[in-house]
Order: sequence, then structure tokens, then C-alpha cells
Amino acid sequence: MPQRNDDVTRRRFLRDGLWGACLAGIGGVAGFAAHKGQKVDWLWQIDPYKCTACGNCATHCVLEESAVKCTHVYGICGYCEICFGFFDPEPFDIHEGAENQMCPTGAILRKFVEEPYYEYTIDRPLCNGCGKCVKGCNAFGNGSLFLQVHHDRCENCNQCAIAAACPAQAFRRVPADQPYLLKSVDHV
Amino acid sequence: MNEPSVAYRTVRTTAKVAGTFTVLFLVLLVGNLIGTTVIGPLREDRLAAMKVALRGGDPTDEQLAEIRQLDLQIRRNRVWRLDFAHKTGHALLASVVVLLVAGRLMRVLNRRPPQPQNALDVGAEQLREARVSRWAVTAGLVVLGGGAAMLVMVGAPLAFVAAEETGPAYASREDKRLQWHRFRGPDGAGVSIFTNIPTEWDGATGKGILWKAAVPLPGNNSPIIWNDRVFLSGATEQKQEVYCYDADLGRLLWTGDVPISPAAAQARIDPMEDTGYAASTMATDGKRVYAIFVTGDIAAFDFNGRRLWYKSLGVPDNAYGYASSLETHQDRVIVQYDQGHGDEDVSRLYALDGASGRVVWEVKRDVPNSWTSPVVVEIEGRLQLLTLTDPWALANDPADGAEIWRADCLGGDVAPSAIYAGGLVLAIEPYSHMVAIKPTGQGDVTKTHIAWTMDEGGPDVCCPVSDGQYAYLLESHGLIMCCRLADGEKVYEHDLRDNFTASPSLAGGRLYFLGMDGVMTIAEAGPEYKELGKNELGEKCHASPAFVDGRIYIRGLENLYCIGGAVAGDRAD
Ligand code: SF4
Ligand code: SF4
Ligand code: SF4
Repeated sequence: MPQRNDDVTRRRFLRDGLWGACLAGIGGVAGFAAHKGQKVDWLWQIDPYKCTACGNCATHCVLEESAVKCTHVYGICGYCEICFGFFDPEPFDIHEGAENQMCPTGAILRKFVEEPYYEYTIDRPLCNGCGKCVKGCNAFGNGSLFLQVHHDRCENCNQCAIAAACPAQAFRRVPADQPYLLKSVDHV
Repeated sequence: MNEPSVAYRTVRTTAKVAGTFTVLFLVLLVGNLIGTTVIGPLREDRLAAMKVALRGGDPTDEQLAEIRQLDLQIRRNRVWRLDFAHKTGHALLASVVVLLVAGRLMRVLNRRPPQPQNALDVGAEQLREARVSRWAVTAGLVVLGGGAAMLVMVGAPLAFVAAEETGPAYASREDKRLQWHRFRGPDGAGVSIFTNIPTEWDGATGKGILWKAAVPLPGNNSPIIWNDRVFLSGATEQKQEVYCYDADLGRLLWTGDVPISPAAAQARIDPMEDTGYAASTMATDGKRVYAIFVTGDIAAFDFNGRRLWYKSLGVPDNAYGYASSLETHQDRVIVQYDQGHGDEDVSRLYALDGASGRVVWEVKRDVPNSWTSPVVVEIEGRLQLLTLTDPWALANDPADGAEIWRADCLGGDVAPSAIYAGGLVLAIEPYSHMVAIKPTGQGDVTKTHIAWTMDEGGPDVCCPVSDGQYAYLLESHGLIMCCRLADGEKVYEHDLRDNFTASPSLAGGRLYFLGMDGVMTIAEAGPEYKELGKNELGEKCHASPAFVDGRIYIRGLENLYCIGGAVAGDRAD
């Protein structure tokens, strides 16, 4: 008489395997969350002098909303009335109408200071790091807008997906206690 | 059969509800994905098209309101979809967890004590289980395949893309000698190291012409060549473009767009007709190509047509229109930016980083506008960056811009560029003279290093060419003058009876003179004028041709021509 082997059936194998994978997944998420809380010694950052604002930062980040954001050094900014980061290179007119704005997400806000100066700020949650404003400011302004990895959002992947795709090789590791590579006023 | 327990029924209902929600959330997420990847970009394209349509027009209030409304819709939608994806994703995870836990509990509650069965039943049961397992594996594979397909659809965000730039960051000077990487080729000298350059062709019959391709926008700049690619630029008042052609087939591989800076758009630059909007020849370092226009807008592209950067050097104050061509040194692009009248402190010599466009060094020049192009040459083991302007012939160190020497020897509207030949730097003042400078000095060498001056006039547009023994000058109205390099003595004069803006070139011991009517006169280099032949292209030509292995590339007013064999170098000489 054939003996039924009740210990390991394929059905049980599949069932237990699926359950195990689910547990391992949940465990993995917890482990990852715990890992995020730990101190990291080195972080990824963009050298703003090498970045060509190619647009990869917006699309290659593992996060749906890129951890790379536009950053502004007010000390460098010319407070131009025609801000080339704010306005399309060929604006229809020089006013805030959507038809004239460069930023596809409306993340750049401008405030009148005094004739002929305006202050520009970035609405960070809206910015997707596309670098369009950076291109404009670098090309025709004085480069006070640039891209940085914002570390409160960055997953700090061991091998950053954007770094691998960066054509300018602008990504590099920086010590965690100096996580930003800001442009300075006196840089040549 | 026993009725299921209350606990079992509760868990079963929970599993059903969780299952229903899981499916619902999945459908919502897929819908959201389609909205983000298909509908979103469509709307953005529409907005971009509407914005472009506004330029130069006089839009009505309704048109503006429509644009603003669409813009607002796109922005709101983007934020909403992102938020929706996050929330639904979390809800999906929760429902999957509930489903799995409920499933597990159902199994536990449904466990029955083993019941004795007869052997035949056991066999049937095992066959049934085997069938179910096969189905489970098939379903698993289908799900995996579907997942992979979705990953491909959304661009596989986790996949690593190999960094594109591998190998050395720029071509060596030796590599450049085999190419035509800038205006007039290596060292800007108009001399090709190849001896297998064609000597016979005919535009009317197509004889000797490998291909002919239309160039979309006009320009007086010359083609440059790097391996199997040909680059040139074209522009009008509204558009600035860079073109890349397949050198073997003449196919236009890509067109690069260089935005017109707001300042240039406002200034409404109106260059002289002979200059045009794209007079400056591009340059390449073997990795990237660079182009500058009459507006002072400069851009870099990789060989695949991706624009790496663009910037404005400021709208040039130039009497006839900016026309200096670019040079490359290592991974830098060199720009001679002479403008104004000489006393406004606006002329500059720049070295820009090829990868980012950042200024690596810049030198102020107290000189007025000029139309010459910079050349980097090697003189006694040291690199010198030569530029000509009114009144100086200048040499700078291409590494940091430091000045090496200068000679006060030129004046007026300086246009022919310097060449280095037979140990001398040759500089021309149009309609006046040519000077030969020994480039071994330091500081102001006007009184110490001028080897000779030839006072019999000088071309106003065309650069000189030299075989190391003689220098050949070509005036725009067709007069060729040949001078001995050793002492500047005139050896012969010959009138070609044609008009010229293309500079003369030398290949395989032959001189090539391309007239404005598209007729190329070929003559033997040497102390006597000896014509070897004439070839008609059938189209007007303003730009200097490019010479590489077995081929000549000529830009006519409307078309680009490749003269030579199907495989470069396969032509019998
Ligand atoms: S990928 Fe590199 S070059 Fe492109 S925007 Fe990001 S940092 Fe800049
Ligand atoms: S263009 Fe740059 S420098 Fe000018 S206002 Fe905008 S951010 Fe500031
Ligand atoms: S243009 Fe792009 S990088 Fe600049 S603020 Fe807007 S979204 Fe951010």
C-alpha cells in the first residue's frame, strides 16, 4: 500500500514559502527602518560646480519624488528682476503668469523687495529636482540656484541610482557631518 | 459535513473583504500609474505647445486664461496623484497583510484530524494536489512576468545605468591630428596629414561625390569631423541649432537646439549678411562638441545629441557680428571673446570646463572686437594659445591663461587667424602686411622677435597656409601670393579670377582653393604656380572645407557634401 508522506507536500512547501517570504519582507522593512536611524559616516552629495543640470536627478532617484531639490544661496543671488531660473528663456512677458514661468511645478516663488529687486524662494515639497531653473540661472544668471541631495529625504542607498546615471559624474561621497556642498560667494 | 465554526466564518468574511480591497487598491494604483505616465505628459506637451504658440504673438485674455487654467490643473494633479499613490500604496499593504493573516487563520481553524482513507483515495488526492501545484506555479510565473513588464513600463527605477563617460575625458593632441576637430583642422593650420585626398569631382554629374545632405538652417561655419561624425551649426534670428551627420551615409543623426538668451532676444542682434547668425565654427575634444553663435550663446553636446549645458557670455558688441571659432584644449573649450572699442574692459579670453561650462580661467584683454580664432600649438615642447587682435599678436598658456608674449604688429579689423609654421607665428593685418614672429620670447617681444614683415598687402578674410617652406596667401578677390618662410620674400603671384571667403588648405602636397562659386582650384605647392585642375560643385560656398582620410567635406550655402570614397581612405590617390 503506498504510504502518504504527510510531512512535506508541495502544497505545504508553497504555502509555507509564501508565508515565510511575507514575514521576511516585513522583517526587511523593519530592519531597513532601523538601519535608517543609525549614524551613517558618508553620504552622497552633488558637486554643484560639476552638475550640468541634465535632468536625470528628477527621474533616476529610487524615490518617486526625488531626494534632489533645488537649493538657493541668497548671498550669491543677483535678485535679478528677470530671474532666469524663474522665467522661461523666451517669456511672453515679464510677469508671474504661468505662461512665463520656467519651473514645471511652480516651485519657485518670488517676492518684490524694492526696485528692481526680487527675492526668490523654493517651495521644497513642490520641487522635483528637474534642474530647469538651475540651467537658467547658470546660463544667464550667476548660478545661485543649484541642486543638492536633501538628506531628510534621501535613502542613502549604498550605490546611489542617480550617481550611477549622472553624466557629469557630479555625485560624490561627503562626510555625514558636512552633508551639503553649497556654492560659496567667493568661489572662482 | 459539520457547519464551520463562528470564528472560522468571521475570519473567512474578513479574508473576503481584505481580498476585495486588495483588488480594488491594485486597480486604483494601476489607474493612477496610467494617469501619471500617459495623461500627465500629454497635458504637459499641450501646455508647452500653447506656450510656444504665444511667443511673438498677441494673445487674447481667453488664451492666457486657458494656459493658466491648464497649468494649475497639471500642478494640482501632480501633487494629488503623488499623494494618492502614497495613501493607496499603504492601504494596499495593509489589506494584503490582513488577507494573509486571515488566510493563515482560516487554515488553522479548518484543520481536521487525520482520517483513515483507503489507498485509492490517497492516490487521487495526490494527483489533485499535483494539478493545483502546477497551476500555482503557472500563476506565480504570470504574476512575476506581469510585474517585470510593469517595471519595464515605468522605466525600471532601480536599475543601474552605467555612467556614460568612460575612458579618458578628452582626446590627445595626437588623436586630434587624425581628425578635423576645429576650424581648419589640427592647429587651425588648414593642413591635412592625409595624402589620399580626392582631386576630381563634379557636382553636376555627381562624379566623386559620396553624398549630399541638406542643412536645415544657414550658417557660414565650417564642418568639423570626429571619426564617423560631422558637425556644423546653423541659425536664424529665432533659432540656433547644431547638426550631427553620419560621415559615411550623410544621414542627419541629430539636431541640437541652443536657446537664445533673453538678453540676446531683447537686443535683436542684426549681423552683417556676410557674417550671419552662425559664423563661428564648432570644436570638439573627442567627447563633446561645442558651438557658439553670434548672440554669444554657447553650448555643449555629447556625441548622442544630449545638450550638456548652455550659457550666455553676454551679447557681444561687434561691428560685423561675432565670428571667432572655438578651440579645445584637453577637456576645455577656448573662446576668444573680443568686443567693443577696446576701452570698455569687455574683451575676454575664456577657458570653460567642457563638462559643466564653468569658467576655468578668464583673461581680460584691453582690445577691440576682432574676428580671428584662437589656436593651441606646440612650440618647442610647450603649448601656446595664439590669438590675434588689434594691435597685438598674443600667446597665452592654455593651462591657466597666463600671458607668455605679445607683439605690437597689427591694426584695423583683424580677421585671418594665426598659423604656426617653420618655427614662426604668421599674423596678417588685412590689406597691409604679414609679420613673422619668433615665438620663443617672454613679455613684449615687438622689438626683439619679429623675424620679418612682408609689406605687399594681406588677405582681409582668408587665413594663410604653409608647407613649412612657403606661406600661401589668398586675397578675397583671388590673388594668390607665395612667400618664402625664411625671409618673407615674395616668390610668385597668381590671379585665380574668382572670389574667396574659404581659407586655402594643403593636403598631399597640393593646395586647395575653394571659390565662392563652388569651384575648387587645385595647385601644386612649391615655388611656382602649377595648376592641377578645377572641380565644380554647382553650389555657392563660403565656408572652409574639412579634409580627412580620403575625403573632403564641403559646406555649400544649402547642402553639405562629402567628396571621396564609400569607406574613408579607399580612394586611389
Ligand atoms: S544627474 Fe548629475 S548632472 Fe544631472 S542633474 Fe543630477 S547631479 Fe546634475
Ligand atoms: S537668475 Fe539666479 S541670480 Fe538671478 S535672481 Fe534668479 S536665482 Fe538669483
Ligand atoms: S525648475 Fe525643477 S529644480 Fe527648479 S525649483 Fe522647479 S522643480 Fe525644482
